[in-house]
Amino acid sequence: MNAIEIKNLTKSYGSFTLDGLNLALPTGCIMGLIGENGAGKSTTIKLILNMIHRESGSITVLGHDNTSCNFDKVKEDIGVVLDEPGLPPMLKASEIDRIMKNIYKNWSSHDFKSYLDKLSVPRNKPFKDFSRGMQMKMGIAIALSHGPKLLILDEATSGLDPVIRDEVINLFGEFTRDENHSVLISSHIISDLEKICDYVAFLHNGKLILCEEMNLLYEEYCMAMASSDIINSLPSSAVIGKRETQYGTEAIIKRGYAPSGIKTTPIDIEKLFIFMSRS
Amino acid sequence: MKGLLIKEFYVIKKYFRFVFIMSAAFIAFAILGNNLSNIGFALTYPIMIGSLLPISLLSYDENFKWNTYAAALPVPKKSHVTVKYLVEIICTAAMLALCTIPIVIYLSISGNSASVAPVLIQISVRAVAAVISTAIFMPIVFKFGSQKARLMYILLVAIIMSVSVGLSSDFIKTISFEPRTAVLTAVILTAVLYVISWRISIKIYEKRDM
Repeated sequence: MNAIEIKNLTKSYGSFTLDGLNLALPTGCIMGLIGENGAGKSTTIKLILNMIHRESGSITVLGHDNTSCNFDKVKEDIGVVLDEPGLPPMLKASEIDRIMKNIYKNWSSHDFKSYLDKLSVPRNKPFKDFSRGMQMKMGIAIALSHGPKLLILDEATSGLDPVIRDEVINLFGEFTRDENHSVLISSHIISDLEKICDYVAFLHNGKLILCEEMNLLYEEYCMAMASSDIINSLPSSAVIGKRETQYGTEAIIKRGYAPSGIKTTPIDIEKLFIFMSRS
Repeated sequence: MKGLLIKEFYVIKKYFRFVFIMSAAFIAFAILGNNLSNIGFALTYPIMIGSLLPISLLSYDENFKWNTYAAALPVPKKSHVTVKYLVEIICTAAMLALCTIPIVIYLSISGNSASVAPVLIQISVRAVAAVISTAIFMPIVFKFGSQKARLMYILLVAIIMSVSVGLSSDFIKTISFEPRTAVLTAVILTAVLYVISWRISIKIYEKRDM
């Protein structure tokens, strides 16, 4: 069973349309959702959580239709971190603990306090006095403290310093050691996604331009640096994108078409996304 | 829903403590000043403010972006609406107790027992007016948001409370000691209106995108 299954999902907002999205997150895996600002990442996440209404298509989460009347119970198993924390600013950690204890059936105050300590979140400061990064850490602590099976994270590592980001990414990696646990994470920090994601999905202008296993991407594509004549001689289907530099033409090409004699290197996911978006 | 209620009371404790203190001060000044003719105003402020609390809470939710965050919690949208209506009932009841108990005690002790019933009528009429105002406006706030609804609400509350002040004065002059039937009828009709308002707000909120 897939943790998330999206079929032909469509949602329009004036000039923007999320258009016929098809996506599946296998159980036990981590999928990174990459896209430029306004690509539709947050819209997709809100549609998955039934926070906004879709126009067409279907979404199942942990085996349940997300518009069914029991989906609120399914949310007990979903840990969510949104790009805006949304907690009342006067709340301290103990008050948040008390609120969440009375919302989530499987809430663990012990786990919550443990994550606060691990992430160095102060217990006696009101939420409004937290930095952006600390607010995100509080959101992450809440998301992990009720025994979720699925984590949905919208820019959860933004605003975090590299040391804490590394710890948080490791936390997410540990979370999926249980093969029933899955993670969908959207981020601009592609290096974070490269560390832990099994799958990556590229969204561009409301369309899914790629959804593939990370390992297969590395096997299928490579970076090549050669003269523009050599790159232009390749079949257009083999060249994902190219860029002229002062040293020659940099291109992402399918491995099987790489001409002998030219130097190839493993692809950079960020460049793959940029080249695919431009093409 | 208990978690949502706890959250509301944390917000009230932080941002609206002064409301209860001011209301107690109004009642105390009316009693200590021995100025029963001003009891009407002293009653109006706390009851009106108490009924405005859910709308103010909705406004804070919008500022905090709590509505968006809460939509991801395992709580049905119906509960988000219901908790606001519950808070209205609890806060109005608290204000009623804050107004009624000291005034009744004072009137009884000072030998003005005959004034107790008219004062209770005034309190009842104001409470009914306040709850009716909120019942009319809550669906509008859920539909359009607190900013757009707020000005209309204040105007409507002022009109309804003015009418209630005039009405309660007429009640005192023209009716006999026990206007139980009129007040009871008003309370029942208000309760029915409140339930209808609650159901409409749920339908509106369930259709809203967060």
